[in-house]
Amino acid sequence: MRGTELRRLTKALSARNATGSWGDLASSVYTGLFGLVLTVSVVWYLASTLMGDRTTPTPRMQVDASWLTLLAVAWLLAVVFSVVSRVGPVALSRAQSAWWLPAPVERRSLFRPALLVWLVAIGLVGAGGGVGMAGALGGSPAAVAGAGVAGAGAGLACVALLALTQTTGRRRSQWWADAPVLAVALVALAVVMLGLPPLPAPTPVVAWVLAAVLAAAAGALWWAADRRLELIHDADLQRLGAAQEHAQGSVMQLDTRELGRALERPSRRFRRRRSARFRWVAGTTAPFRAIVTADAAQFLRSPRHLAQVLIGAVIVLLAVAMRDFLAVPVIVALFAGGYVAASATAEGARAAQRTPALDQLLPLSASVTRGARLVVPLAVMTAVGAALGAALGLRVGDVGHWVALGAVSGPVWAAAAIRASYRADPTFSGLLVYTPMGAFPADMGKSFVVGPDVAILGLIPVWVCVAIGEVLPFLVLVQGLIGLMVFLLALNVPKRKAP
Amino acid sequence: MAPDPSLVRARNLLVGYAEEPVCPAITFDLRPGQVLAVVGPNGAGKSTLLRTVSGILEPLGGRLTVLGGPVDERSRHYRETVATVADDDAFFPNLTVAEHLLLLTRGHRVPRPEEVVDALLDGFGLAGHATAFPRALSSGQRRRLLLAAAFARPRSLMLLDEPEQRLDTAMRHQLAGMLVEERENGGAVLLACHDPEVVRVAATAALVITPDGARRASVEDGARAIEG
Repeated sequence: MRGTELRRLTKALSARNATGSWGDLASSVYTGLFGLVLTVSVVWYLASTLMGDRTTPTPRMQVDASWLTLLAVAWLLAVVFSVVSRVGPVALSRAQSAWWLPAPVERRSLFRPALLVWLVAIGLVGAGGGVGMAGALGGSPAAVAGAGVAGAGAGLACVALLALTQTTGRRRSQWWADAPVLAVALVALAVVMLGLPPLPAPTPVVAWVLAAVLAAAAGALWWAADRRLELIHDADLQRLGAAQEHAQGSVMQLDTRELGRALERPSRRFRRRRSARFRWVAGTTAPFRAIVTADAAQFLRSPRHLAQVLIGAVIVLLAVAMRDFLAVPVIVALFAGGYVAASATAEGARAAQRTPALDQLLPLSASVTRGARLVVPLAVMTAVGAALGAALGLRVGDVGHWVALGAVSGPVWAAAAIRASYRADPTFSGLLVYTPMGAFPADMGKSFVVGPDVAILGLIPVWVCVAIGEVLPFLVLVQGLIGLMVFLLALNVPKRKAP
Repeated sequence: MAPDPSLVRARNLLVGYAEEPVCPAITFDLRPGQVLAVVGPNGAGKSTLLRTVSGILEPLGGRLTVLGGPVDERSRHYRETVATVADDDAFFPNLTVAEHLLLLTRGHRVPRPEEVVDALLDGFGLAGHATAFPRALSSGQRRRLLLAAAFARPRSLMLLDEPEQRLDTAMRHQLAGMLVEERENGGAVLLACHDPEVVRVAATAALVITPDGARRASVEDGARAIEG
């Protein structure tokens, strides 16, 4: 049998064994789409009714669009750098590790293709970013071309640098993955605060000088890394390869929660100087306090999660501080940034979803346990919501009402984060839908729906206030009531169904 | 009519996944002061039975009561009474070994929690790792921590899924001794096990599961079934 025939046979058998249709796949995201359409309709209707003749006051902080473009490209590269550092760039799959590593062969040519794949991919991402940024800033074609080469050079240099760190034989610190993203967030914060003048359009000379410097740096780093490839430890290749396979599987299944787990890098710290005594975990509420304490310790001891909250907030700040206050970008940024921040606060719930035994350790009913798991997200998101409300208030006036609105949105964010954390895994033993990429469970779209749906629907008063550029006191009250309702619904724990 | 003293009562219980039973129907009772060893070859359905009794899976057929009623692992009473050690690593990555046990003992309002934790750390050979995070432990040490957590809290019923796995011989002996103490103190243990010595020392009866059927057996028969 030829390879092509085997491939076709596999494809045909997969299609025949699939038990669901594309319609089943679509139905899992149907409720989410319906909620989104409903929300947009309600917000549009209420905003146009309540808008009247209101005018937006002069802002106190502004960011020019040119800075936003630069920051967006920088953030894209930082995120890519962060992802590559978590899964590579030089890594081997489990099968490759098992069959290649024991073989007494020359290793440079064995590992080089794994590195080349990342170099090409990230080089293209960098080139796209450079071209996009120079184009948005109004650069000439020569400047845009130069920026494209510079972007590609920056991408290649990043990947080569990461490969070089692998050859040292020491495991990279977590900072390699987290610092670039955090640094861009801090720069963005500074840009918002300082109100810098618009960036000039790049000139061809500047673009091509930068391109030459970055290309030279990329070449030198690549040369150094390639010569030392065989020094990479087997354990490093296997660990990163396992993370890469895990991440690929999560992407194929559109499972964002699992992707987060795949990209999680445990700290290299193996112990603390001393253990906390947790003496406040006492009295009749001790079981409840124990769960809250565990979740709070998880959150506060994890720099990545603290940084994630900051990054979420900065995303919103950038949109709020744009020179022209545009409701749609602010709403999108509020949703995206708020969800990024809220997700960081629910690590305890995500751990308990993966190993339900964690929720069964203490003498509390399941719904009270769920309530305890909501405490940390509620506290953090109430504070974050109030801070973002203050930013909106500074931008459009009436700080007090905006802070109140932001604070009462906290329960909705907390409920959304907990709902997303506890959502059931895709059921591979149920309906399977055949796609050109393989067979998928029909309910895999839940990954995008369960959790975000609560935020989209539960924050309608916030969206309306942003759309009209003003907080109406009765909308604060409505938001508070919705928050209370959503929060109470989040305490419900359904009985587990038969598999 | 006198109340049923059984902590776990199964009648023609069918367990499995996706409506497919993994073993024949099972009938047994587990009462205070008993250690019932569930033995059988790999894939016989031992872990599936324990997952069903612990509420992770729904029974596919027959009757199952735990603590006198249907299994509801969501209830406070269940969580107060049942200590489970399954085969998963249930840890918070940013809490130390001692912090896990302290939170658990304080959460269960165990008197003098710090002394209890120190004793458990000594007993399970973890005293030198009290300030370590779970990821710094070997798989055997993580198993010890899970077992220490089960013994750290008040309980009437223990569900232990192959607790001897990844433990060295000395620790297995110690575990068997602790299970004997558990039953002498009136506790009940449902124990899936592959170690004949642990079964001989700790169990009061055995439940042998094979593809041909599930039968209650003596401790010696159970141990021999493991030895093949």
